[in-house]
Amino acid sequence: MDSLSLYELNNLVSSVIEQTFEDDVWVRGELLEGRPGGGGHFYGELVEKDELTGGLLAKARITIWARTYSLLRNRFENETGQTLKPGLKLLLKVKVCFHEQYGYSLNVVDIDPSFTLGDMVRRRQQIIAQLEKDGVIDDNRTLPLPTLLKRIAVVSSDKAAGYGDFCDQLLNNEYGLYFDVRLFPALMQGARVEETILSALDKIALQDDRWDAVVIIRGGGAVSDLSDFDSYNLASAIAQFPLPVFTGIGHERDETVLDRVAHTSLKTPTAVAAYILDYQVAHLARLEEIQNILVQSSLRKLEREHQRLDHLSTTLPLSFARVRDRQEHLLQQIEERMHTNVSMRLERENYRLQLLEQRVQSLDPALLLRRGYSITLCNGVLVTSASQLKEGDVITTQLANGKLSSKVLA
Amino acid sequence: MTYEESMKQLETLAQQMERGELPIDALAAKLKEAQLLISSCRKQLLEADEQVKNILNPDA
Repeated sequence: MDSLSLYELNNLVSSVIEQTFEDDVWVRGELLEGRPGGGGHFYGELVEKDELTGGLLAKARITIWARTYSLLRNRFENETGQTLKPGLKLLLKVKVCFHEQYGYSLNVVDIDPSFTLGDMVRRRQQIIAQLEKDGVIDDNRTLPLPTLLKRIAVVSSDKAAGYGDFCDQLLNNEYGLYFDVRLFPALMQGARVEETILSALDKIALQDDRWDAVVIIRGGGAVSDLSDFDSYNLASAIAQFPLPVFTGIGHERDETVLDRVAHTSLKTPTAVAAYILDYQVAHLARLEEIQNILVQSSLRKLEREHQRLDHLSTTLPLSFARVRDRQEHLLQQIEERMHTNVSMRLERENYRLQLLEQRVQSLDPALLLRRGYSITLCNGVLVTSASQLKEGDVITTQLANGKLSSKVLA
Repeated sequence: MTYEESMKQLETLAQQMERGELPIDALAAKLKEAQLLISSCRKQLLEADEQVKNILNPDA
């Protein structure tokens, strides 16, 4: 039986492939893994997954030789804003190879960054559509900013230059304003961006009354890899966060989903610090204005009250004097009434007495005696009729002055 | 007795006098009583006047 050595077989396969794929081929796939290796070459694995199940449909090794890689990498990073890293959808121009010793691989000769960009945009659009469907996309954007933006919870990497810039700009401000800034550390690049930022947000949410706003910042590098921020979970958490969230994640080109849901999105950490500072300064100016208005209106009110008091202090004694005079007058009247009444009454009684006296006096027998009348008594009995007497009786006659005795003759 | 009570009593006394309801024996006593009430009212009025003046012009 004829047989081939493995080398002969692989050589045959290699020549078949070379003949079949004389020209380079554009191929679509997802980078499963890959990194620059020794000598500046890039080695990775390209896969195709089932769109519904995510199951692996195909896989191939890819290689980008150092010279090509250095050219492609710059162009790719400049246009997409991110590094070649696992998870990205790529459109690669490849030379299909089969090496007797290393087997099947694709040598990348070109990359179409717009394909990756389009995929990223699509992903963002999907996340935004989902957040709209959830009805939460504008929740954080429409939160009112508190009157004071003073207590700032920062989510960033403690090693990032952005955090230092932010603190420097905010804390060493020319107005001497004080800010309470605390860092809640999170990784700002790599696969754990979502997990660590969510964990930091959870910690802040536990003490949301302690903070006025949340700031998510990172320093911009030569290339900002932002795709890690295009996460549904992260965007959803920020959209529904109870405090206003500011982003300054140092990108220059497209905005991430986080920028879409955040309350206020700015380009850099420094810009966020400047915004907060301006807000505080404007607020302080407004406070001063209000203070002036309050002082002025208080002064006016005091002046009015002074005038009222002045007026009252002159009118009050007068009103009281009127009351006092009226009462005095009443007392006088009543006093006069009584005095008049009592004296009239006494006069009247006196007159009555006089009348009585006159009447009594007119009845006095002495008065009659003085007029010449006399009183006759017989044996002490008043004689008013001649028939009371007989001859020889001795009678006594009382005159106005003195008495006389007589004997009855007949 | 308050000022108002005193005034009421004075008015009653005056009316009794005017209607001739008081016996002569009681007249002097009642007049004396009325005079006392009038003095008391005048005193109260004077005191109130002084208090008001003191309140309005505490430095005087």
